[in-house]
Amino acid sequence: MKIETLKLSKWYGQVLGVNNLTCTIGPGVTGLLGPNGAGKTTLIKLLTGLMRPSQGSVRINGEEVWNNHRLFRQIGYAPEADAFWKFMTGESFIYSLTRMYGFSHDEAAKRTGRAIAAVEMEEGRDKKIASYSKGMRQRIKIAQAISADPEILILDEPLNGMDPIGRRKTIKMIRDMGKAGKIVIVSSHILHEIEEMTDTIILISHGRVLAEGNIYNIRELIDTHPLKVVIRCSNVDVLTAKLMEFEDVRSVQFDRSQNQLTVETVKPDLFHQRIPDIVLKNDITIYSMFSPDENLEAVFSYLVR
Amino acid sequence: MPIFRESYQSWDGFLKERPRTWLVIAKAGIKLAWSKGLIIVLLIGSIPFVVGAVKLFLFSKVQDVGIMPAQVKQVVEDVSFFSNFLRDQSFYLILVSIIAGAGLIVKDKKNKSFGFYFSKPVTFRDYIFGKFLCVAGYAFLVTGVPALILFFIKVFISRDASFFNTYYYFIFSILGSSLLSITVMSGIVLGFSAISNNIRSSAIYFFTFLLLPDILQKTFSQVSYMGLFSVTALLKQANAYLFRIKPPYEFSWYAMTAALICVAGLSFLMLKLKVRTTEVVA
Repeated sequence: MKIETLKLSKWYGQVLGVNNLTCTIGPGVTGLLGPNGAGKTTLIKLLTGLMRPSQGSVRINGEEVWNNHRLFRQIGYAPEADAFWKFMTGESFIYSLTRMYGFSHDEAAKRTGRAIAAVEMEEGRDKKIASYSKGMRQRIKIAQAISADPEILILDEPLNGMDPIGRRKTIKMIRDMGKAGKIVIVSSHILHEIEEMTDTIILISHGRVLAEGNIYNIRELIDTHPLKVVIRCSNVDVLTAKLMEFEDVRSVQFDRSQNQLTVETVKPDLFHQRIPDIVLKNDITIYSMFSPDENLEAVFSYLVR
Repeated sequence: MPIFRESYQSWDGFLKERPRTWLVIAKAGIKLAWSKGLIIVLLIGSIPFVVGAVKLFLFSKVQDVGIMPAQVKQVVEDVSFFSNFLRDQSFYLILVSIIAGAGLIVKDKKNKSFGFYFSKPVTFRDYIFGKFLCVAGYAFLVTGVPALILFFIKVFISRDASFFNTYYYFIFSILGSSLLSITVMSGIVLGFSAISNNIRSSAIYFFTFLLLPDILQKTFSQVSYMGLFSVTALLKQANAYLFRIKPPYEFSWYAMTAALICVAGLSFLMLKLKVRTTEVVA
């Protein structure tokens, strides 16, 4: 199963929500990233068939999603907004929405129980939603999305308002669903949360896809942007002098008090190959070495800049 | 425990080809309306029914001993008894429509719930029909149900079958009149619920839409076609046609039908424009 968007565009009058967006989303967890107003929610609504594209198409296994109620049975969607029948209990809320998929009473009740167990809401299942905390409401939202066991799960900012334990459990659950072969699309503006769930991202800004694929591959492709490497070592001055001899090293900043230097290189692979030689020849001890640029945040801030 | 280990993918049952999603929506709406104390209006709305039933009963008893005060006789023997009952119940119909219907769509809109509904196999028709059923169900409890019970009380306390043989069509008149009123009122209240930003304004719009033309119609009663602009006047006229009694207004049935179609069209337009599968982000 896969989701394909082809030259997908959506306008709100004069405002462009999504612009000529082409991408393919396969099984596993995919993080949908982008700054505010990038078009994430619009894209989600297009993917869930809630919105008709102005141009282009969204297809799931070759079938158009818009107004395709048969396909809607394979999609579980948890919107960002707290949209609830607050007079209902969490259990009756999930049961009602599960029934909408066409399950019998017994099957819907069984699935409701499972979904509640999956999000660990057994204690609050009989309480009215109006009395729920933000974290509980989030979990109930996720439960209604997974109750019908959809092949595609689309979660808009699912971790908002969750406590750290709930957050960790939900991240694990999302990862497990991805491993089980489902297509899970998670939108978030908190980058490290996405990083904990997946390496596969779609980065959008101003309605366009800026990058799509594995985060590390994306970083490698950004060769025009110097990679930062932070090294803590025994002899900062010598290492700084040696590194400055190479053309690909753009800059070196050092801090003697911390025994630390920050190097910017445009050829990361070559740089990493040279380091062992330099260290051995000059009798330098490396305490630690890492790149702050190889995380999602660095890629994100670079691409949307 | 990971979800895939909980046999999530092992169900081999059949999904209903066309799930009755409207029923789920209606049930939720019914519960919501009930939580707003609708029972009080239903109880108060049943007082005219109790009074009517007592009148019918007393009539049969008085008839037995041969005493028949002229006023009582007029009230219960008049063929317009059921028609008048339904006409008088329109006040409760309006109240029930406001309490049950004014918040039905505006709440979903305010909570941005459309995403929940329309990402499931729920169509616009399912959604509106579910909401309609909720208002109509309660409205029928204060109109059609008591009127039908009164009719059968009258049939059972009659000493012979002459009443039923003569007025059997009242069953259809009662059903037709109450269903028409309910459909029109429910449609309007849902339409205003869709275009409003909160329950209060939805109720005010609905009330104004019914009351203002009614005031104008009464003020300019010498102008016969003014009744065409009043929903309550149109329903009174329809009620008279259905019970085969003299219509209270001079305009024709086809003008009345056209006006009612316009009202229904307006309600549909309000719903179609505002009940979108998604919220438009500015």
